[in-house]
Amino acid sequence: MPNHSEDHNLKGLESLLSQVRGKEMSADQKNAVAFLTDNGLPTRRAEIWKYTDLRWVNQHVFTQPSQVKHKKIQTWLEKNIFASEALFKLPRLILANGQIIEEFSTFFHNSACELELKDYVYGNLGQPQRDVITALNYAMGKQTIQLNVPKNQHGGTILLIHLGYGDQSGLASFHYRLNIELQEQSQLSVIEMNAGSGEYFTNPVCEVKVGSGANFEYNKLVNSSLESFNCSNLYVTLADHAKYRQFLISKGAKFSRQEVYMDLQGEWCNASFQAVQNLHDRQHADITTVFSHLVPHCQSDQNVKNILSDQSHGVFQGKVFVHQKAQKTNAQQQNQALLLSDQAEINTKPELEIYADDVKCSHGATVGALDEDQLFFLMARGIPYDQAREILINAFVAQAVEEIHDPIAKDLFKEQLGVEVVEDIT
Amino acid sequence: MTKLTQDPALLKQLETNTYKWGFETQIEMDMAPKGLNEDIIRLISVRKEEPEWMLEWRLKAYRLWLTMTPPDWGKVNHPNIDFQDLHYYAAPKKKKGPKSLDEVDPELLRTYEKLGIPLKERAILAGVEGAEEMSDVRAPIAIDAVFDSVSVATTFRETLSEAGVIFCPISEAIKDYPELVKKYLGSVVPQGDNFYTALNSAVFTDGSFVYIPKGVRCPMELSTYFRINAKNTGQFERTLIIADDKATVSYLEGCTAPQRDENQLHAAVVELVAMEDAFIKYSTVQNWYPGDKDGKGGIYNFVTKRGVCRGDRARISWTQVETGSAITWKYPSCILQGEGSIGEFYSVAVTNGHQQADTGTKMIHIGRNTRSTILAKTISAGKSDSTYRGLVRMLPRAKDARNFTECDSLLIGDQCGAHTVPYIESQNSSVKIEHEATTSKISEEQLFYCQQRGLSQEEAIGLIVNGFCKDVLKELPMEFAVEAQQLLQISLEGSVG
Repeated sequence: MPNHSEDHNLKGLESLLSQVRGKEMSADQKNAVAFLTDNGLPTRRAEIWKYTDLRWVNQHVFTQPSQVKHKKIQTWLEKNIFASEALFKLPRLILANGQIIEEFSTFFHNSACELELKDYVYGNLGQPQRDVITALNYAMGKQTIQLNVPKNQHGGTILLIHLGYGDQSGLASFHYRLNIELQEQSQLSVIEMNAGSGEYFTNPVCEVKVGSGANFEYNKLVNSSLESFNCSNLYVTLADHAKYRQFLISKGAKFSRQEVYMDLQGEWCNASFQAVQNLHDRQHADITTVFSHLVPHCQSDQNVKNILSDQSHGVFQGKVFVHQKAQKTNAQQQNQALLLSDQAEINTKPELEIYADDVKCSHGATVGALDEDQLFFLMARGIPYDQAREILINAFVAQAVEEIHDPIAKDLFKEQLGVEVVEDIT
Repeated sequence: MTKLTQDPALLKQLETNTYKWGFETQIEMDMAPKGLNEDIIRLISVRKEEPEWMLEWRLKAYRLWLTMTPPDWGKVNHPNIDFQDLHYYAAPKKKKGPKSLDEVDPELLRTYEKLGIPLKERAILAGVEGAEEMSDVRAPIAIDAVFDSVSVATTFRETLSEAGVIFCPISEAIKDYPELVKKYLGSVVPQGDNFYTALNSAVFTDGSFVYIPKGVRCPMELSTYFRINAKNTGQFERTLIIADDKATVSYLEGCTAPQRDENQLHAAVVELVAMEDAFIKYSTVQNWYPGDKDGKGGIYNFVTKRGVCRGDRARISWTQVETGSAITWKYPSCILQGEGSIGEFYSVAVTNGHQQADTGTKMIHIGRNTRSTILAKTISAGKSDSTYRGLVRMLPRAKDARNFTECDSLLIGDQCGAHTVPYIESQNSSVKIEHEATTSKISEEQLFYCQQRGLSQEEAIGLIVNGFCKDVLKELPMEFAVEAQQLLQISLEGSVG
């Protein structure tokens, strides 16, 4: 295979793949590269990419990420982490431009959660061919971060920070893999923060295995640079009696696509997914989920809220699949969108695919502006328009944030969404 | 192929040739050879005595069709259809007026009997001379029966023409009202809209044409029976209904087909145009042959139905009860252009055995204050699969538009599937869209309650299912509502135990 890496005229996908072409590759990596070379990027004709356009990929020249100056990281940490005592105390792992920065990471020392850094592992995600984002990660990934919580251990709360800094030379891209495994009856809570500045492309793939009776909470904040691109795939498998809770806030990034594949494999497991997309300007954010109920007696719950201002574009494609064997399934899906501007756009497709009869499945979707009656009610009581609006938006989001169990994450997310902490009046 | 069509001698021959290819066993059929090419389209056009512009229109559609591929996004599985292995034209041979019903082909009469057409109307439909005078105007329904692509007769035409309503086979309309047809044909569903509309536009043989003039309230319910009779014939009807300003019409379409072994293709196109303050109500009961218990045979029903509310305050209402066909692929849609126009979609889809149904609607809101309601009830039993697929799109100009969607699925047995795929797209902050969907099974308690009062399990299920569908059934015209209820019961026979 010819080595293209010297060719500076390449654009888009090819400029990305040229970074690995000609180098030594494993069989899986070769497959992924071949798949991407043969098929290129999906267009909006592909059902799963109906509302999200990957055209931007071919409008950029991809470059290798540069080293990030420690000073930059330090400044960010001082401002965002060290200022809060609760966050400061948490064991943390810091990545900058896809590299682990050991100087600022603390959790190697004091946690029941084991960390291991490995070469990229091609795991059990099945066919990378099924998904272009995963295939990209397979093709480009260099490193795997493995987190392990042993049986019966309480791993506490871990802070995972990913910083990205773009430079002028092109679009730097980061592809890493995060594997989290919880053994039987263990517990872990992860807070993930994405932040940065400039133009860059983040493409992590995360695989979570929650063992029998284990309990995992995953709170993720996408607050990346407003010029950045973020495509992230998450694959979760749940064993019997496992519990999974996720909260996702998407407010940064110019372009974001978050795919979640949830396999409920053990009986009596429970998955909950809450998300808020708060978008401005010309931001585009997409949440795509597939919840597969494969065995009886499982429960899942999805709740996605969109608040769209300016010319932003929100997308939610959610699917609940219930296998023929998965009797007594209880699955619920809710999508609400608040359009605050006439130029904003929402596209949503909450989908049910059901093959078992003794199930309770429902979904709902609402799209609308703020309720005029509610606005009137508040304004009639002397609250100015702007403030009344804010109160209502607040209420819309607060409902979701209340679902977060981890108190540190809850405070952080409330702050991020600008939700005022209202004490329970009753 | 093109060389062939340019040969004038051959064309002449085609025109004059009487067709001797193949007779369907029981009824004499006039049939074109299998396959599709420009010659077949010319042949159809010639047989229908169509003007030149119509042929050009068909050929344009055919050329578009050649560049297209069948849609694959529906949740249906079927072997690839060999479009060259079908007859594209089949018409019952014209007999000169039989004197009485006794002279009419008994097979034909038996089919009418199964369809439940009143005796007098049967005579008219069979073309018995003088039958029209015989008929007492008992049931005020005008029927345009499409017997394998050709309208055998149109009843009550005179009553209608007094009111100024035009109700005739589309082939006649092309000849008699070319200006109207030219203006509206393809204006709602363009030839190249999708694979099957292109095919239909190229080869459609008959269908109904309705024009209601300004301010007229159609004096009776209009009704069409579509049946598929001959083997290996695709049925491609084309229906065009135009309601001018302040006009009102209710149109019923009933579909039945005798049992057939081989899969038959049915690709119809229905276009509705509602002008200012007009109201079109289009109701369908479809119970074509769904295939046997092993899923063999059955009709492929790939239909494009679309209505456009051109004028302000226009209203289009689709009601459908879908119980038949091996595969249903059908999305009656509304384009809400006029300010304050209304679109409605009420649907019951029942699948049993190995049936597959992918059906739903599209509501495209363009004008201000437009409103749409979608009510879809899906019942799956046996080894069947049914999908609701619906789109609600709010365009930037659709200020203050509203949509409400409710989709409920009922599963009977654990071998079947029920799916809901709604697409919601909004580019407007003043609109309100609500969507809700549930999937469940018949509650044990309800079943027990009915059985405890002496109903058999099957009767109980029928009763519960009818209750489940009541909101939709009540939208049907009365004649259909009763039939539809019985149909539901019959369709679910053998689905339990």
